[in-house]
Amino acid sequence: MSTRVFVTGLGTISSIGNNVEESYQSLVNSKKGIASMTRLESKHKRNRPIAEVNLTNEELANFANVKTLEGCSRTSLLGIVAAREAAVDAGISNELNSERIGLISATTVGGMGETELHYRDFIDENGQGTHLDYINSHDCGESTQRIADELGMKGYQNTINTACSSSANAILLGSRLIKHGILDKVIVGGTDALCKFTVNGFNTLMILSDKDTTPFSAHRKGLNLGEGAGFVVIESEESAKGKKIYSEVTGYANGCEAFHQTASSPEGDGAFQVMTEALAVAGLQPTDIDYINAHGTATEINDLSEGRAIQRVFGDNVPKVSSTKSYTGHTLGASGGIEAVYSNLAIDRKTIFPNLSFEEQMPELGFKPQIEVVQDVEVANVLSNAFGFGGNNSAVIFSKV
Amino acid sequence: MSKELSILAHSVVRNSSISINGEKDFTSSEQDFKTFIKEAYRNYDLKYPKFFKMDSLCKLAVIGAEIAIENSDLAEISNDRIGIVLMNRASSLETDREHQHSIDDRENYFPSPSTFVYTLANIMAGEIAIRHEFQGENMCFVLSEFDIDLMQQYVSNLFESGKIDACLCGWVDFDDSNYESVQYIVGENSSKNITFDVCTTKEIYNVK
Amino acid sequence: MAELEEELKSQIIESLNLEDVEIGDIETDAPLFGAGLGLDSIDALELIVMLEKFHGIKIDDPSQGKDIFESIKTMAKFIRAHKA
Repeated sequence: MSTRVFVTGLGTISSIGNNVEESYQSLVNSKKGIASMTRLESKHKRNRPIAEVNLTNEELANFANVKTLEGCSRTSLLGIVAAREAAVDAGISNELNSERIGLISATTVGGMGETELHYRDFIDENGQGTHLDYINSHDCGESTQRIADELGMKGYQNTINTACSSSANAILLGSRLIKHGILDKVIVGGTDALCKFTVNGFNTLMILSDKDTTPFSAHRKGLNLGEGAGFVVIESEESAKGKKIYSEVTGYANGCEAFHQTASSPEGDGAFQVMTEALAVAGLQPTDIDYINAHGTATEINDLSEGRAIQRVFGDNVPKVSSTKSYTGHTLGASGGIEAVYSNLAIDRKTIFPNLSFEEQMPELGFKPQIEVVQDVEVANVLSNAFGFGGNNSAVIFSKV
Repeated sequence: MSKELSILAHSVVRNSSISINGEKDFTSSEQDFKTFIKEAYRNYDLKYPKFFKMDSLCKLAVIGAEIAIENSDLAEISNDRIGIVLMNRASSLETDREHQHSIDDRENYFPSPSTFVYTLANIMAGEIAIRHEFQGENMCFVLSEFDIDLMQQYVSNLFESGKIDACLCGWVDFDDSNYESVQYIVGENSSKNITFDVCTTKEIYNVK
Repeated sequence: MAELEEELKSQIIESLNLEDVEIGDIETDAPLFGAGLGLDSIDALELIVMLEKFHGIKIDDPSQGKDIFESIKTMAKFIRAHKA
């Protein structure tokens, strides 16, 4: 039974790049993907910046080289692109039909981006047309199945939906399946496309900013929504022999804050719990962490809660902290996966990515986020936070090998 | 090392009736879910006004959980050592439809924040956690049917890795007027209780 | 004069799903948040929607809500001022 889990492949697509390399270049050049809405026809087009992937569905389908286009949602397309890139990177493309290889994806939107467009059409019992193909792709599990089918995967598949902690939880589950010898390799991560359902929903919660998001800033006004997909390939020690290894998944934890359906507690109890536990699982001290890729949604509540929790864990020695949502917006179910890719890039490329658009330090916190790119620096341990509605909180630690 | 685990108590909510550990405990003549669940709330005297803000899926989950929890002895177990693992098929579809409907008409556009917060399956786990202050690991799976093998494996794994000392598990599904909640508390072995395994779980789930 | 206050109480009970609360239970001067009705942050947002839906007044900044929604009295005052 393997007790170590290694990351051997990365794949991602978002508003800042259609693959890992493009994303990295955007990250080091402080190039964000947040802009005005172009693709979505939303009531909020004029005053809600958003982070869209710069490809139409047709372009994505070509790019993804998708075999079956009927009823294929944008969420699925994004997921296929990223999962395939991760598989190629890990050198496992030719063995994906093995029963010892799994896929755990995460999404909150699934095919809703398409079904919401045809909501009224579906009510017509006599209706005909290609829109009917999207009925089957509405549910979250379908996008996972699509990804598996396109990649030729026949083994274990699962879909996690725990809001914004979903892909982090996919990494947790995948790691456990490897540690218990059930699988040798797992593609883990998540995907979410932008849709009016989420834009309108988040807007009614009044946490969407009318300008570019400013995580950990005193006068932050909320988040910008984003879309994309991020997957990593994790393998057992035996399976990863001789391969390039980005990092080891050394620590992880999940818990429920049990405070409120959507808000986190002012003292950050939930975040504190999972960060502390992840460190314990990894056998690390707070001083061992070189970089925190924060959840950092720039809502009034999250950044205060998470900021306080970070101070409780790290005391006077808060490492460099940044929220890459300042680049990509909040990609919801995909965020844990995309940010896992960036955390691994930080280790592999010896780079710490900045928290863009920072304005003024929060008065409640004794630290401010990292605002400059730092290169040629040893990054041994990265803590990645992912906190979801429902009080579902997760933390993952990636460590240099 | 495999721990011996038991089902300490279980509840089933289906067809306007509620049973505890296999025995019918409450039945309503009301077919309408909203009326039935309100009656159940009063019958079990929850004294929890927040209940009325929840959507139907969460109301179902909270009632089912309440009964299983009340009939288990969890007093010795620390709240951060109690997990929640739930599954369903329809995710939060009922509320998704409601939210979609509220944003559909540009002339009558009033999306409701209290509806939107329920458009995620795992909120039902969150609501149970808030009520009972359970802070252990929580997970929600959306699957085409109740995967009892996965549940067995996942929950056993959590105990084996020392994460939890008790776990609320179950299948809680709500779609249109079709609903069912089968929830059970898993804990360390006790001779009084049913063994936690795939067979016993299937038996509990399949009782009409 | 008190008609608007009574109307607001009824709208709040409906919008916020306050089961078991009658109009007579809500005091016009009493704080809505904290103890008493036990409203939370989501309820505050729901009140903003209610204000627009039933009274045609749009609030863009949620932090304004704190003063406006202090009590039924302050809500009524705000609505009258806006409609004047």
